[in-house]
Amino acid sequence: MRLLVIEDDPLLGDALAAGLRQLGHVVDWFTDGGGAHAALASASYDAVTLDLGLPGTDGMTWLQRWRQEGRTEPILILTARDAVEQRIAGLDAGADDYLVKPISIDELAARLRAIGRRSAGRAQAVWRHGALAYDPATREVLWQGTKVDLTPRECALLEAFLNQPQRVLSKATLQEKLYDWSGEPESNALEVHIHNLRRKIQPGIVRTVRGVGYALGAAEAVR
Amino acid sequence: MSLQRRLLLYLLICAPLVWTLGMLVSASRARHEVNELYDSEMIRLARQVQAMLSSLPPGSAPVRGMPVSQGDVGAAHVDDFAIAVWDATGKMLVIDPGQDGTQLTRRAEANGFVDDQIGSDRWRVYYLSSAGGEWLVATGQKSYERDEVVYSLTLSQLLPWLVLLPLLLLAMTWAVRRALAPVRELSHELRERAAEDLRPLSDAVAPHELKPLVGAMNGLFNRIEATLARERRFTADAAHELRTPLAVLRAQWDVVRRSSDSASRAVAERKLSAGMDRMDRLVTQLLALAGVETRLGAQRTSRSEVSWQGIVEHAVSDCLPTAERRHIEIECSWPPSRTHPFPLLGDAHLLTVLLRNLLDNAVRYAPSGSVARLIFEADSVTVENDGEPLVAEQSARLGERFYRPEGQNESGSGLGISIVQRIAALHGLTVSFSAKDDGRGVRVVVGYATPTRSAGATSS
Repeated sequence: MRLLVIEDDPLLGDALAAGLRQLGHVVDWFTDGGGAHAALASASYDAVTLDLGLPGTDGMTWLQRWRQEGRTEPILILTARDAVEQRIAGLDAGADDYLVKPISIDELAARLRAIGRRSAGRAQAVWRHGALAYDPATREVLWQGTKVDLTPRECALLEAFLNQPQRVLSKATLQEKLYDWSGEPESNALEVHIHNLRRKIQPGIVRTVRGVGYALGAAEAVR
Repeated sequence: MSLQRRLLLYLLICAPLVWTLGMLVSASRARHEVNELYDSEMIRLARQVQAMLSSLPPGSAPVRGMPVSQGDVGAAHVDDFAIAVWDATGKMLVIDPGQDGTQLTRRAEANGFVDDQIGSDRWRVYYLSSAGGEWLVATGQKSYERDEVVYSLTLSQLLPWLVLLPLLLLAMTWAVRRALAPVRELSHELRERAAEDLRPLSDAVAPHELKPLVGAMNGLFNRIEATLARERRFTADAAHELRTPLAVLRAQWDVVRRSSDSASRAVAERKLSAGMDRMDRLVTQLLALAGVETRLGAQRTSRSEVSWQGIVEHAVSDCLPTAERRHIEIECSWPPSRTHPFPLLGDAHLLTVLLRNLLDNAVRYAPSGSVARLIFEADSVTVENDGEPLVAEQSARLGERFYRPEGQNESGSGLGISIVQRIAALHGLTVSFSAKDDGRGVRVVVGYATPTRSAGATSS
């Protein structure tokens, strides 16, 4: 998943980003709402964790603004404010989940997966597509019941396809899902990962739509 | 002992005492009246006998005896009086039917009242001689007869009092209970209260005597409530502020656990350690603040003339590691040798905390390679550095708990200045923030709130 972490505390933000990256997510971390606002406008995120006590404009204000602008990204509030009224206000302002610090990275990742799943309209924990089964929690991929070893990038790519099975995803969109803004990926790296997916699972798992990008193979085709 | 019992007891002791006094006065009045009555009676009787005797021809035998039957005499005591008559020769003529008169002594020279001891009885006797000295008449009465009258008079007053005593007791109990009703209501109200109910008592209905008590209790309630509110706010703030450093530790620990190679593990461990340092600092500061709050609440600081040298030594030693890391030099300057530096009665421990916090801030937020100065004057102590001058919003919010200006690279709890201000308030001092004279840097001056002690007033 491509995640946006908004946390003003340098040590905590660093830890959250590092921990989520270790779990195979692509993470962008901002210490203020302004940077996060720009990031949301320029890339598509699968989930956002938002701290409320941000310098300058408060996290709650940003949340309200984003919801008013029609942003639908799943947003999880991660804050030290633990009063019931604050939780209610946060959820009513449009947050999908509300977590009070401290929290383990594992739980945070699980919550992010859950709100990501719900926003994709899926309730099952294990994603299925034809003979393919993918568990985002363990990042385990089963093809016709047999385990397939994928690198984290390949996993992220497959997840991006499975997340929107009907859509054709452009190269740019896919690259957003694979890389944060810390470094520019090599231009043909995406093709290499797609090639590997086809090789390790089945050639029909990814369709090429010429001039547009790639899409997941139809469920009937991947048996 | 309850107030009610005490009141009743005092009343029960005092009432008989007052009664006894009243009884003594009334008995003495009765004796006076009885004496007056009987004395005049005796004089009258003696005169009548004299008059009767003088109407007799000289030498004639006097009447002997009286009629045996005296008829109905009602409640009279005719036998009370003894009468004796002597002729000029001293021969007694017995005319008293009770024959008590024979016991009386003839006193030829006597005239008027004489108190006499006859046998075992005390008598009061009235002697009256005729003008020619032919007859001497004596009328007498035993003293105890008079005492009897006085006793029975007194007793007749005492009896109703004794009979009424239980009634009086009941009436007094009722009165005391009624009078103490406001006290009972007050204690009832207090007893029924929940422990955390600190609403003030209403003193509208309290009687005048209880008003100061109710006022004092309300004052106490207010102080307790303020202390509790302070404690609650402190606990809430502390719990809130501990969450983020705890979250850091937790998250960094998760990262350390998952680090596969030693390089990334080392990085994560270093960050975990930084997180622990921060936690350590926050907890230390929280405890310091809690200590100040407790002392502030209890007003129990040990105050003595402050020796700044020792305090400065401690505070500077504590800040040296940070200063070395950031290449900051710490300078301390004292007033001219004959002036006592900032004389103050205070708690050395708290003042060390104050100075350490100010110095620590000065060292942390000064540009690397600069000098942080500690300046003692006759009436103030100043800490200054070459850091970025504070903007208005920062100065206004500095004392706020957990407030940390944006863009801080240094770790901090956001409690340092709160602690400084609390300690200063405890010593009746104020803390003011400004830029140095050249408009650069930050200067913190700790001095007296009102210039009651003028500069250099005390010199050692």
